[in-house]
Amino acid sequence: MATGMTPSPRPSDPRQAFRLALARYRGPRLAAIREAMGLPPAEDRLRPAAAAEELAERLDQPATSRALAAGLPHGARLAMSLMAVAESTTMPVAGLARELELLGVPLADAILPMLAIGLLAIEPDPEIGPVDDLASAISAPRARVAAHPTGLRVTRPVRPEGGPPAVSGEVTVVREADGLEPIVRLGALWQRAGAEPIRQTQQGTLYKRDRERVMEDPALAGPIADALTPLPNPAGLWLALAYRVGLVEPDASGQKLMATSPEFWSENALHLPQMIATGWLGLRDWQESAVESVAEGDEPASPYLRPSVFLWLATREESEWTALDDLAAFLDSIAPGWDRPTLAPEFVPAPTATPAPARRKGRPSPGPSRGVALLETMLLGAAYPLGLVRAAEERGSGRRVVQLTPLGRYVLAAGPTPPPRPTFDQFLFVQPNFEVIAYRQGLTPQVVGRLSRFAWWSQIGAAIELRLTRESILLGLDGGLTPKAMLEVLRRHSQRPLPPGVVDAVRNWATHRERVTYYAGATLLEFESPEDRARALAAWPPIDDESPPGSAPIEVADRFLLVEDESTIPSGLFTQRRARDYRDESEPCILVEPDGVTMRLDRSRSDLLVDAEIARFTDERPAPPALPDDNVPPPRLFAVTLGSLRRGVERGLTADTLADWYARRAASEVPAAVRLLLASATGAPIAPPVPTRRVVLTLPEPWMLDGFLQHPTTSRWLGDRLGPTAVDLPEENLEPFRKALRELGIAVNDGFGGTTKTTKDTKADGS
Amino acid sequence: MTRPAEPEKKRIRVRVHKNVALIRTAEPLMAEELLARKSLARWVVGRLSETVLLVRPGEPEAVVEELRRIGQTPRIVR
Repeated sequence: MATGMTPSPRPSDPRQAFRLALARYRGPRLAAIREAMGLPPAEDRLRPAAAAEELAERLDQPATSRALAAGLPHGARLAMSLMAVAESTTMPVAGLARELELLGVPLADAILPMLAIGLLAIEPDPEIGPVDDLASAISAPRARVAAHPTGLRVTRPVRPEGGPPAVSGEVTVVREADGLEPIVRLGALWQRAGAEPIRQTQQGTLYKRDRERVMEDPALAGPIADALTPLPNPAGLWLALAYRVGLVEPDASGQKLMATSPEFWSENALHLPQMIATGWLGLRDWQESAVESVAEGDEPASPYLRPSVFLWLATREESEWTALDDLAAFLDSIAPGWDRPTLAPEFVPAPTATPAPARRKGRPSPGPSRGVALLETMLLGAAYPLGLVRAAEERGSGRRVVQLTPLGRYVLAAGPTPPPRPTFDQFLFVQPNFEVIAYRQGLTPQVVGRLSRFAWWSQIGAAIELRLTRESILLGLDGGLTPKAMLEVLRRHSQRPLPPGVVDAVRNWATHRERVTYYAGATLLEFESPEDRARALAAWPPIDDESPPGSAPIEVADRFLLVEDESTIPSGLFTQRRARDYRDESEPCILVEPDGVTMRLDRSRSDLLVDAEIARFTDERPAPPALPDDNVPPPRLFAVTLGSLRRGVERGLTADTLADWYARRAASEVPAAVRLLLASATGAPIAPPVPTRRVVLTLPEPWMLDGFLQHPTTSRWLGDRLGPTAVDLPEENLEPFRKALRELGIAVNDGFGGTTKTTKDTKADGS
Repeated sequence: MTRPAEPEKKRIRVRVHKNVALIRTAEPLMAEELLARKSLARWVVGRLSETVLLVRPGEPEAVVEELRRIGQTPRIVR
């Protein structure tokens, strides 16, 4: 696999991608598309965003899309068919050009009519800019097109005219795969991702350990038992397919591929073969042939060959066979160089196609050409185990021949829904050593899904081996299965009674698991009193065996009820105070009292975490007595002390974490009183305070002190201003200050007895 | 004068805590055992009861992984 195991992002919303593409068109082009759709000319100036939405809405109507598609020339309808059979709503123009080249259709003939009526749109690209001239836009090297999803959905695929020659003689050794290979492998991959998510870097490549985990797992990387041709990088194919059909999906961060919900199996198992087949036809993350290096802007070509090759195969009657070398020669005649490895436009002549080996009966083949080798990998290596083609040998010549299976014809809209596989129920051998042997004949996609949920696929070959392990049973329990349900599946499909040891082990593993429960997002109801909780429990709807799991509330401490499923809360019983969602950031709920060390908890805004947080470095104080007849519970008080801070420091509290806590919970800085205590608690050096005696000069009016502080004769002798009318006067400056007053002609009270005070006196004044 | 709606009076006042991360054990001893694990301490922020531990929200995979690493096979409720 040339691109490594890197599933490309799935297109998010195809309709939105289409609308956004149109919104980047110039007004006149949008006006032309509106007209082509039969809409009346706009009265006002056309706004691209609004016009794009209007056009997308028109195409949402199947009848409109169908009518527009019906008027397209055959080449354009072929282009739509190519995108429809692979459910590719977006693709590079170069890729579509290669697909059309294989059908003998010039690119412009096919897609310009679609672009002109708006069934296809050119995706925004800085190199192209706002689109006006369609022909010029599609010639840009990296141009991509997006199709309206409704347009593709209503497209009835058409087949190209003509086709490769059918084999005229008899065929022998006809083989058809059971089509289970991808289902079982994807089941195994889903399990692996469920047990441990597959991590990927931000660039989208798998981490080395995860890559090795996938690449070296025998259930994923092991060869296909019924293979006719080796499949390159099988693990990469299964991963890309699992991603494409939605069995694994990225988490919110995009850095992990997670197993999708187990419900996927019950909802999609029936259609999974078709989903996989369609997904493979449009799969870009896996290639039939390794391409050593791809120039920037170029892409491996083989993914773009599949839809065209299959449309050609669909031109043959159900009973007709096509030889691979005939098919290669036929493609050579239509598109010389069709098998070149990349989408690069340069023409690289392909080696001459093996000329009609059928006519050289009995002579050994000199070795397949590049085209034949490519077709072998595509059709015999991949399409055969996916159940899309049958393979046989032409009698006499021994040439490989293929024809579409009912599934293949159905996917290409060339045949009816394929009949379901004949199955039998008892196909499992559950052994006392926890190994389970499964015969393929009994498997269906639905059964594969059921087993995938709790039995570990360990070997996939002609017979299939699963293992029951503690982890596999836990996976089943995590997915909502009960031990009873798992044992029931095994009993139903087992040829013999289940070994008692297996039954006991499944139950024991489940019981052991019940010892610890982790709730990622539980709901807790907090009551104001134990009595209130008792009332709620008495009024709670009765729980019985029919009730959904998690319906029963669980008592926690004396005032809480734990509820696993919020939807089971009988909301009519309760009046809800302010709810707190713990996915949200914590909010301020602490009021710091003026003394700096006492804190008051705002009960209406507090949460469960704050108790644990605040207990780390404070001591709770007794609550003040509640006022009589007051329904409001008394506030909770906490005090920071040297002892409580020391306790916090021992548990890792630092100045930074404390500052962060005050910012989050009190919306304030750390109070100075607490900083002081913290410095003491952490042993930070604090300069020892030096007590000094001060003389305070007080004046009757503030303006007088303003004057002394301003005038250079007096200001030089004064210290810090202590208040509107008080100022510090260093004792040694007393005499010079007295002289300065005299210089200014201000009377001096002898000894300053009436106008100076000690600091103590000043405080008593409150100045 | 209209009388206040009777059922409203009988409703019980509750505070709802949503999306709380918790670990619940079958026995108090098991909770003690988990609390004693230093590797879990960074996620466990408090104890609501003898068998229910309050866990820092937002890192479910890390908590589950750590529980498994110390030999537990927790039931996971998402």
